[in-house]
Amino acid sequence: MKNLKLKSARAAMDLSQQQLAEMVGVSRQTINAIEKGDYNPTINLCIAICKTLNKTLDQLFWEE
Amino acid sequence: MNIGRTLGLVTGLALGVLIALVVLKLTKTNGRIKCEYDERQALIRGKGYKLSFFILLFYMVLYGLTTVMEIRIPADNFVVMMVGVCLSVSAQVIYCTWNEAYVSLNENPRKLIIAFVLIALVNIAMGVSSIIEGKVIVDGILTFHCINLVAGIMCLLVIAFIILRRHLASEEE
Repeated sequence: MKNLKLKSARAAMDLSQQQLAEMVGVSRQTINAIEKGDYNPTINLCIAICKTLNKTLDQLFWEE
Repeated sequence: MNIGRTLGLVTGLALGVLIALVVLKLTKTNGRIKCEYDERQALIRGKGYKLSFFILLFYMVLYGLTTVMEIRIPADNFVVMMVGVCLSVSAQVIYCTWNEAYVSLNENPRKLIIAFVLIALVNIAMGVSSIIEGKVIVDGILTFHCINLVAGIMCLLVIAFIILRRHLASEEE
């Protein structure tokens, strides 16, 4: 399932996939795979993304 | 094996290691030799190694069966082994490339492609020179002199996959 919350949070901060990837220390392809729902990140990566985007885990990764 | 040939082999191997180290260093963006991968890439690479392991296993069993069944393969044992290694390595590289886990975080893809092109050209040139000198097939047997050609073709295959995947990825964006 696509992670549109992550995509919109990233876009809201005006960050490209490449910029977010560099900030959390992964490849752009990994961010792309997470947004497309092709890859389930580890909790460490989820936390790193949340901290970078100033969001909580629930806000980005919890499915309603 | 005479001393001259042994020295030649050792020198060749040492030169190979040296070139590999230089290529590893030059293709990195942070001057390190070691490749750095993220968690998704590490996972994909693990699956790639598993795939290459099973391909090599299957290949070895097939080769073993040919000797049991007394099927004569017109090639040196070394050639047969190296073709197996090249097959399994190619499988790993293609799998990782396709899943965007081949190029590490601290690697420059363009420099990597240039390095592969140079390696491919050197190997193909050496292979062609061996063919011209008539060393590749001796008494109907494929000799180890064809390894350079096999390695060169493998490098070209890798380059083609890296370029194709990058092209597809840019289209997806």
